[in-house]
Amino acid sequence: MTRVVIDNLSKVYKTRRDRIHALDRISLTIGEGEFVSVVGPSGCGKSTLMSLVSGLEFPTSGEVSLDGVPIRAPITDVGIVFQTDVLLEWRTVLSNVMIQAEMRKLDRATYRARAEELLRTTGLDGFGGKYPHELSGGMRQRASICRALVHDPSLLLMDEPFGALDALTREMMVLELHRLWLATRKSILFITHDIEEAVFLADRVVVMTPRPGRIAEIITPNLPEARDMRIKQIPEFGAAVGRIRTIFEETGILKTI
Amino acid sequence: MVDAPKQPPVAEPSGEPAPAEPARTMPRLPRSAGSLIALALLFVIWELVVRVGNVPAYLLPPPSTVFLRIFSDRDFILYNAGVTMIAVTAGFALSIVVSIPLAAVLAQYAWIEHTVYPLLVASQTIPKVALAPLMVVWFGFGLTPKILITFLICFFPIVVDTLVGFRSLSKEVRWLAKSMGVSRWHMFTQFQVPAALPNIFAGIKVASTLAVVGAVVGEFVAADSGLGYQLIVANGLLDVELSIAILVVLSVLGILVFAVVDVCERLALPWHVSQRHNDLAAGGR
Ligand SMILES: Nc1ncnc2c1ncn2[C@@H]1O[C@H](COP(=O)(O)OP(=O)(O)OP(=O)(O)O)[C@@H](O)[C@H]1O
Ligand SMILES: [Mg+2]
Repeated sequence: MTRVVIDNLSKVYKTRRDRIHALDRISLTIGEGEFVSVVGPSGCGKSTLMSLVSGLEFPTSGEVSLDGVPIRAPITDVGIVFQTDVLLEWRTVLSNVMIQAEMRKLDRATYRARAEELLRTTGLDGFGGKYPHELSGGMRQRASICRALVHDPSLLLMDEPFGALDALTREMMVLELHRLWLATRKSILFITHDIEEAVFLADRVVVMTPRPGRIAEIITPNLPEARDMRIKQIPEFGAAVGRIRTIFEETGILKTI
Repeated sequence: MVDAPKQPPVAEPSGEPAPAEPARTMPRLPRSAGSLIALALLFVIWELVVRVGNVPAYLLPPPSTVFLRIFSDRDFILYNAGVTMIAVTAGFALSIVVSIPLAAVLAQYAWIEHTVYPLLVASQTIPKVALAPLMVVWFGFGLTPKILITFLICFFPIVVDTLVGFRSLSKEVRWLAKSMGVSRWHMFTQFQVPAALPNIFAGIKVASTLAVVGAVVGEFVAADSGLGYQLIVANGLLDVELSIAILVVLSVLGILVFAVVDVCERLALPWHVSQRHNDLAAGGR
C-alpha cells in the first residue's frame, strides 16, 4: 500500500527581490513500511520537500497526499527530525523528548519509560536531566531524534539527522535506525547528503539535482533486507553508489578529476 | 546599577612578562565584591575631597555626616521610604500585570499589533514628568497619581521587550509544535511564553530601575509624604545633607527592587544563557 503520494509537486519561494524555484515537478511515492532516502547537493530543495510532505508549508502547484487524503494542514501522526535540532532550551533533555507525550496527551508513565529507553539506545544515558546548552551538537541532534521517535509514529521524516555526528557515532546511529526500521516497519523519508548512508539504509534512493530541484533518478539498490556494514562490500552496493556519483558528475555537482 | 569592574588590563612592558599574581586572585572574590570596593573607594574620595578642599557643608557634606544623618533621622526616613515603596511596588506590579498580557495579545494577531503598537510608541513621546501635574488635577494628591506615574514609566519597556520575546519563537519551533498538533493555548503557554521569558525579564529589569524614578516624580508634584516629597522640602530648606541622604536611600531602594527581580529571574530561568555568562546582574547584589 502506498502511504505518501507526491504528485507533480512544485514550490516557488517569492522573496522581495526574486522568485526561487525550490522544487520542480517532483513525483514520488513512499510505500507502507518503505524506507526512501533522498540525496542531493545543498540547496536542491530537500528540506523544502520535507516541509511540504509534513504539511508545514504548502506547494505552489501539485499535491501531497497521505493515505489517500490530500494534505491541507500539518500532519500529526508523524515524527520529524528537523535539520537543526530545535530543542527547547527551557526544557531538560528528557522533558524535551517527553513534550511529544505531553502535547499529544499520552500516558506519561508509559512514555517516560520509552523516552528513557530511547535516550539509552542513542547514548544519552544520564543526560536526561541536563539542559540542551549543556550538550554537544551531536548529543543535541540525538536528543531530537529521540523526540521524533518517542510517540511511535508510523511515518518518520528525517532531515539530515546525522549531520552533526562524528563518523563513529554516525555509523552506530545508522545501524540503530536500520534496526528500528526492521523491527517497526515505519515509512521513512530520510534526507541526507551522504551517498553511502542513503544507499545503506534505503529501499529506494531519490537522487536530486539543484535549481530548480528536480528528481534526476530513483535508484533501487536491491540489497538484502537485514544489513550490516559488510554489505558495503557486495557489488550491488558499489553499483548503486557508483550510479549516484555518475549522476552527480553528469549534472556537474561532482567534478571528475 | 553598578557594573562589575572589569579586571584591570595588565600593563605589559615589552619583554617583561606580566605578573601573574593579580590575575589569579581577582576572580576568587565574590562577584559583587568589586562593585562594593569601588563604591567604598568613591565614598573615601568624596570624604577626602570635601575635607581637604574645605568644601562648605551646605554645598556638599562629606559622606560620613550623610550617613550619620540617615542614622539619626532613621524613623523619619524609614517612614517616608515606606510610603515611597508602596507607590513603587504598586506601580511596578501594575505595569507588569498590564504589560505582559497586553504584549501577549499584540503578539497573537499581527493586525492588532499594527494598530496598537504605533499608538503605544506615540504615547511614549509625551514626557511623563509633564503628565504629573495633570494627574493631580484628575486624581488629587496621594497614592493614586504616584502609582499611575510609576506605572506609565515602567510599562513601555516591559511591553516592548515582551513583544520581542513573543516574536522570537523560531519558525522551526513553531513547526515542531504544529507537527505535534498543539492547541493555540499550548502553543502560547508551552512555547511562546517560555521562549519569551528571558526578554520579559530583561524588560522588567529595565522597568525596575525606572520604578523608583516614577514614584519620586509623582511625589515631587502630587504628594505630602514620601522620599520624593521630602527631597523637595529639604531642597527648599537648603538642607543639602538631608537631600543627599534621601538620594542615597533612594538609590538603595532602586538596587533593592532590581535585586528582587534578579533573584526571581535566577529562580525562573535556570536554563537561560545570560546566567552562564553572568555579567548583567552582578551590580544588583
Ligand atoms: N523560506 C524560504 N524563503 C525563500 N527561499 C527559500 C526558503 N526556504 C528555502 N528557500 C530556497 O529554496 C532552495 C532550497 O532550499 P532547501 O532548504 O530545501 O535546500 P536543501 O536541499 O535542504 O539544502 P541543504 O542540504 O543545504 O539543507 C534554496 O535555494 C533556498 O534558498
Ligand atoms: Mg536542508
